[in-house]
Amino acid sequence: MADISPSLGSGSARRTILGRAMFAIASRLNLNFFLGVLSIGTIGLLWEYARPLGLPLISNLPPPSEVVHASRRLLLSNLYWDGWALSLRRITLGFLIAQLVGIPVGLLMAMHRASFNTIFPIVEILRPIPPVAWIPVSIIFWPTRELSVLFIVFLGAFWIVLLNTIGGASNIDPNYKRAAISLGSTRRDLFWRIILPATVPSIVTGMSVGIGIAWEMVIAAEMVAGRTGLGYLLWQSFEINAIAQCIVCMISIGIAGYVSSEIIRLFGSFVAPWQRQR
Amino acid sequence: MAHPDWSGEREIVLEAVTKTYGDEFDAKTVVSECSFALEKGKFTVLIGPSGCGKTTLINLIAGYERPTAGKITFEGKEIAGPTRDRLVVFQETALFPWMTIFQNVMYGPSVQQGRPDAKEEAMALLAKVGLQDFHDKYPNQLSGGMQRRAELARALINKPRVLLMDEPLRGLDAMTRQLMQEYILKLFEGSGQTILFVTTEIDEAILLADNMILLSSSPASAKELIRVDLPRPRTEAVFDTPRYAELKSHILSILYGEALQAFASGSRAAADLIEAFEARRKTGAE
Repeated sequence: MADISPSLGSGSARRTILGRAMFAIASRLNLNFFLGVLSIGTIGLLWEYARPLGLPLISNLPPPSEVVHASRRLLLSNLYWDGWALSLRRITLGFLIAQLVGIPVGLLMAMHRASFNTIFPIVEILRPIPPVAWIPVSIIFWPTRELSVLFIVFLGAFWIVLLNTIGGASNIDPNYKRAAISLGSTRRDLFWRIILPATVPSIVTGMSVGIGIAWEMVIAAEMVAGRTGLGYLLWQSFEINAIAQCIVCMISIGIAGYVSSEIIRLFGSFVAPWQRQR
Repeated sequence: MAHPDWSGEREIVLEAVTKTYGDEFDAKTVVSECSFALEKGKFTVLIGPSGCGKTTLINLIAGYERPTAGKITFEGKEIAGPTRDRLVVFQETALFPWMTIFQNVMYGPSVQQGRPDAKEEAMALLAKVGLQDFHDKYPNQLSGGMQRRAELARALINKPRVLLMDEPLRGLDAMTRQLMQEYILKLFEGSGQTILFVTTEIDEAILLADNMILLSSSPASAKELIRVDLPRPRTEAVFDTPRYAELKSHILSILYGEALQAFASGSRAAADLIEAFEARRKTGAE
């Protein structure tokens, strides 16, 4: 360790300025950090002591200590982890099917005028209907509840990826295509090496919005039509008046949504590396 | 304008080419009865007020669009569509952003196939344009001047018979632009490459051109053909010669008339040109 005994008054002017600048930065960082801790801490404390303090509304909720206690119990149960597994499976399947259908159909519609004119009217009629509104019909239509939930998740992610793919593929700078044709591209080259990569960034944007909607849909569908999953567990906890458990489910769903968004972001920087460093 | 009396072999010939967009109710003629030729192995500069239809002419010669009337021939045959004999270096740049610089340059050879030593050629070309250390970078990681050079390499590796450069230096800062002009001189002087180079800058045009085509303002047609007989190899020193001054004042006086017309129809570039011309006349009178 260096000697850190105070040497006030010594040292060049430059060092003093540098020292001051560093102190200013450090104190600002500390201040921001301190403010963050302060605001979260205040809310936590108000929430915890809402009942003794007689605060309105917030005292309807169980305090954080009870939530922590409930989470300890819930995290040890199979019910909870099965819920995670089933919701994740539904999200993954519904979301992937939406990509597998949405991306090719979107590309076809963007490149082929007649298919656009055939499919687009249907899209325009069905798209404004919120996916949640499909739940009753979906239950009747599909033979199992599982398929109904999957279908709702699918719808949540489908429209956005479809529209983003169409938008991306039809707004490609015409000079890219011209240059590629001049250089001797076949139709295949033009599709795989120009149109598809040029559309990838829009597809990824569609995915990151779509995964958020897909989570909303899986929770809503499980609440109404499911017999399992995090959404079902959340609603069941409410039904049996286990509000602390509800809050644990809410936080879990939040974590799941955050992790899925991060996965999409990583996927995006993997398939579109040219957009990584600007 | 009739055919030029340029003596060399004509690689590309435009005969009374007209291009009209829109339908019979709302038609806009962008190119009207335009005739000129590109001499083989010569550097031809197309100059005219901005928005006068220069890019349309490039698109017609490249084969991206067809003339409404008239005929364009390449080595005696009418142009039917784009081929790699006539490659375009686009305004701003059309490097594929999703490919590295090396992949961009290799795009032509890779879709054409049958070019086993293309990789070495690509690296040699990148070295020639000073980008060997940037071959694995994406276009958006390069400066404007580097992007232009990379796009040049992407075209040159295919050994095009004619290189069509559509305002390739537009959007570069003055310093980079000057460096790129010197660079283009170095690259093509004595190379025998047939080039059509579009610009709005008179100095740039005189510095680079063997032949110059002055376009009238919209709709475009060849108004005058000028042979730039300044000796080669050229440097910025040509700007100090009396012949340069002569050429410039001649070109300015023709473009001035065109600019006045374009100005009447609201072109800003034209206003700039008129201002420059007036200033020049004033200093000349003193």
